[in-house]
Amino acid sequence: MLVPYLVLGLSPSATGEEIRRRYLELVRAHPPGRDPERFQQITAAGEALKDDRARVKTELFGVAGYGDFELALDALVKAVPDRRRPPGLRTLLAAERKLDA
Amino acid sequence: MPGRRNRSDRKRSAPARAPRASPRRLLDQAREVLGGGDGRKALELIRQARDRDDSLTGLPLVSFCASIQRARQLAAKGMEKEAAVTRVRADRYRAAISVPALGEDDWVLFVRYLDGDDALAAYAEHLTAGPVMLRVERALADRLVVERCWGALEALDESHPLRRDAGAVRSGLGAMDAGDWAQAASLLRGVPRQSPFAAWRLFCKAMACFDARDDAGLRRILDLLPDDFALARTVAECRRVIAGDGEGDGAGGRVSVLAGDRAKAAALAGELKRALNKRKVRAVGAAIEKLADVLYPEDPDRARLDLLEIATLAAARDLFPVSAVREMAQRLLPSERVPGVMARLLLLGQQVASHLWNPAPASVLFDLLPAEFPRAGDRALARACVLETLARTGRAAIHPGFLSPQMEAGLTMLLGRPPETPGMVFAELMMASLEADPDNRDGYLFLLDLLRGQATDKRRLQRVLQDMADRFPDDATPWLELATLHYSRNAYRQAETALAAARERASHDDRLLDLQAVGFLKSADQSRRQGRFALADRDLRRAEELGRRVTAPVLPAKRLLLELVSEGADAAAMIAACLEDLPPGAQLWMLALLVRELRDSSHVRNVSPEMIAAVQDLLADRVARVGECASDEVVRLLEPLPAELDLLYDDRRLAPIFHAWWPALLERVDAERLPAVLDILMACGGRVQVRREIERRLRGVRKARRDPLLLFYLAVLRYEDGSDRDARRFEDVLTRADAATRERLRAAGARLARHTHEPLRHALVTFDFEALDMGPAALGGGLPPLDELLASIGEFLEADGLPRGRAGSSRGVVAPDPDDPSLVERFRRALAEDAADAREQAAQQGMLFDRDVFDDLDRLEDLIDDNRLRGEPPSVLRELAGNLRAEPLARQELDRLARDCITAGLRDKLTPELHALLFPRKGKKRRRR
Repeated sequence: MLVPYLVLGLSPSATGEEIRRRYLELVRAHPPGRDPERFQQITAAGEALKDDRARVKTELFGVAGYGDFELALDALVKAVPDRRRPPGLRTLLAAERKLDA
Repeated sequence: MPGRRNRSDRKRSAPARAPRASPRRLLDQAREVLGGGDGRKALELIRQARDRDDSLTGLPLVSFCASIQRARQLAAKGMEKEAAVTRVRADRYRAAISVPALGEDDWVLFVRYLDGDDALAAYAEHLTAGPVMLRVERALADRLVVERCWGALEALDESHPLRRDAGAVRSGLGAMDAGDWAQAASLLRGVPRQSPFAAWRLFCKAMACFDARDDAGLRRILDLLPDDFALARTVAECRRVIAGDGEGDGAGGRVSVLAGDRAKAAALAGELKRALNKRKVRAVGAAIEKLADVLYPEDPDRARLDLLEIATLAAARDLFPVSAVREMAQRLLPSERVPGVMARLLLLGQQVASHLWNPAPASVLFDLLPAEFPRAGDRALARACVLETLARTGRAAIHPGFLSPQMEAGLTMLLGRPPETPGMVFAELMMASLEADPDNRDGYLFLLDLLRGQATDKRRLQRVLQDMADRFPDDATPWLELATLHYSRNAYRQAETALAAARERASHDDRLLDLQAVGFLKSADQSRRQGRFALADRDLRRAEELGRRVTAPVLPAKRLLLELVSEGADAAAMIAACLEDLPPGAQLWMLALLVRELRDSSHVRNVSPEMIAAVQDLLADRVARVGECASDEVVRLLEPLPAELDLLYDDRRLAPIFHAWWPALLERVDAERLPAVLDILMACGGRVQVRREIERRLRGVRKARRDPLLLFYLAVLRYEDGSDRDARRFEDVLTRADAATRERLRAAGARLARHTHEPLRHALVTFDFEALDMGPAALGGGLPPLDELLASIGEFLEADGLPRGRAGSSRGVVAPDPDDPSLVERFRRALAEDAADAREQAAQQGMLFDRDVFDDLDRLEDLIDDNRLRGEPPSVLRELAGNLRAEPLARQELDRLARDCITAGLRDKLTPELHALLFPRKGKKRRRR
């Protein structure tokens, strides 16, 4: 399950130490008083990857924890970092042409 | 009657509704409409203007531009022939344009609809005699960047800004195309502010700000861009995105090219949900592919796997065919990963639809673990995790005694041997899991939970506890459990030692004192049964001194019972005297507890049947006064004793003692407390009484005012006893319930599921009663038969030359021979050791009751297991017992064990094998009678 990795902004090949460091960094950056939802998301991700056993379990059966496919999809979407990636010029021109047509 | 016009006719005639508009006004309207990009409408307005005045100034120019726009639109729609005809018409209009008479606005329009080369050539010609037009040059710069017709610049003078600055813009085009706007902005840094290309420099900077989420900077730059910039729509989109309302909502389907990844993912996830709910297999596959690229572009295969798992959840809920998941896995994932992924998906599906529990896919997955988990440590953990998950889901789903042959075959594949002990398969799975991952503390706790339920496997439980204590030296839990175990085996000295060890590790744990108090009561019980009243009195006093809340309610009953048994007085009179000061509810509770105690001790010499009868009569007498009890007192009467008293009572339920008076007691319970009481009675097998009580309460109540909870219970009971199997009964209740009541009903469904059978059980757990109409096949029908799926995994394995799952190797079992001298010798040796231990212990402690009969019995049980006598017919065991009894010491020891079993009330709780060994002749006699 990618959700905890996406929440922590790490690759699934990250080591335990990297996970721990990133988790602490994020918890410090998003204290529960300021952003409770994000804090909850981060702690859940940290819990899912807290040690090798939890990590393997998450990878094998992490999705089952949601029980329902819609909840699992929502969690996955929520975990996606809200990156803005402006497309290249050709894509922009194609979109303009499409709107013209 | 006029003919009916179609929609397009109506649309086309719309502009004709302005009969009073002048030709000039119509032409201006056409220009305006053309600016919005609607070539067709512009041409229609031009036609009307021409009809009124075909010599109108500017008519050829606007006609030319509108025709070109229309031709472009037709070409974009693939209507090439129509586009060519329109172009020819546009060329005719162009020939009629008087270029020297065009103003700046006209030129801007003109160059926008000319080809890039033509536009530059026309402007270059204009410059020979005409003035410089900055807006036209900006429009030409846009055409150059969009069409990349740089060769046409030759027509201009070398010093012309368009030609001069084109180099810098061309150098940045690669970065612009790649979306590296920061790089493009730095390459265009040399373009002057007055240059026709200046808007492009600004646009690159704007996109770089957008990328860096510098919304303030972005807003500032967007304000500087001209309104007629070539990417005006993108600029407007950009403004909407930073305002937070232009990213698309996922439901409408349209998502801006500039939207963030999350907005794109939300829109695509919406598509996927819709496709899954509508069971559109092809659409699901397409949505998964697109969504995976957005979710995790670094490795879309990983994201595809997650999305396939999510589709499996839908399949397990019968929303989607799992065969389609398999097909998608084949299409979306590398072929070597498909078998492992499918095995994982099957295991995943079982966790959601637990009635499909089968361990077979796990054995396939185990063979493929190296591909799934390259690190050896992770592989071991994955193995342990799969085994633990199987044990947990299996325990929740099925009774271990009712494994289907298919499940047993799956277990054999998984363990490499058939399961050893019937009813212990989940414990076996858990033990295999702990072998692979011995540091799993939660796993140990779960195993303890599994073993605790097995009365005959105390030795194994002790071994596991000892292992846990060794592995987690600071943990008090295993010592606490060990103490409980020793108490349950009446090994008080060992229990005290274990408690001391637990106290060292958790000195403030209240559970330790609770357990000690319960242990004193248990010791007192045993002493009382053995007639050692002084010892019983001492232990009761010790328990009283500890003053624990847990033991407080039962202590008076224990004290009264001891007095009753020790003094041999008139039971009824003595008890009646003790009960005098108590309220009616407490009197009934005390009497029920005494009945439970006396029945538990009915095999003991100092408890006579008359004594039990006297207490029961007293109870019957007092129950007649139940009308004096309040509702909560009645609930307390029926509630089971606290779980902490498990050691003292084999059955903590008091409700069965009141069985004959259930209807009378139920009448006294108010509506608020009724569900709790109904649940208690359901657990005691009181379905008939529960149903009668509900029917009594509903009788005479108007339909609309009937309690939905009672109706729900009634629907469950009627479905279960077969009197009404119409699923609409449930739907009727649910449709009339509001949100809060539905939640209550959902909770009640989860509770009632424990007392029901499939398919109702599944419906209650999932709270979906539609499937009841479709029959059992519809429940979880999303997953096809496991054999079929395993066969399909096998096909992949064979096709890819990968190893197949291990075939089950059946254990070569040879029936043991009771006359085998080595077998007899093994048993005799064990019995001799027991006898020696018993003598030594008796000599050291001077007290017999502390001798641990359970240890000796467990040792015999182990011998039975080790010599494969488990499950053998009783005749084989009896024959073995006869051979053992030929030797005097073994005979004495067997007789002693048999006596101890009777004293401890264990005779009826022994396994059939041990019973046959200890009571060979008595068993025969009983059968003859």
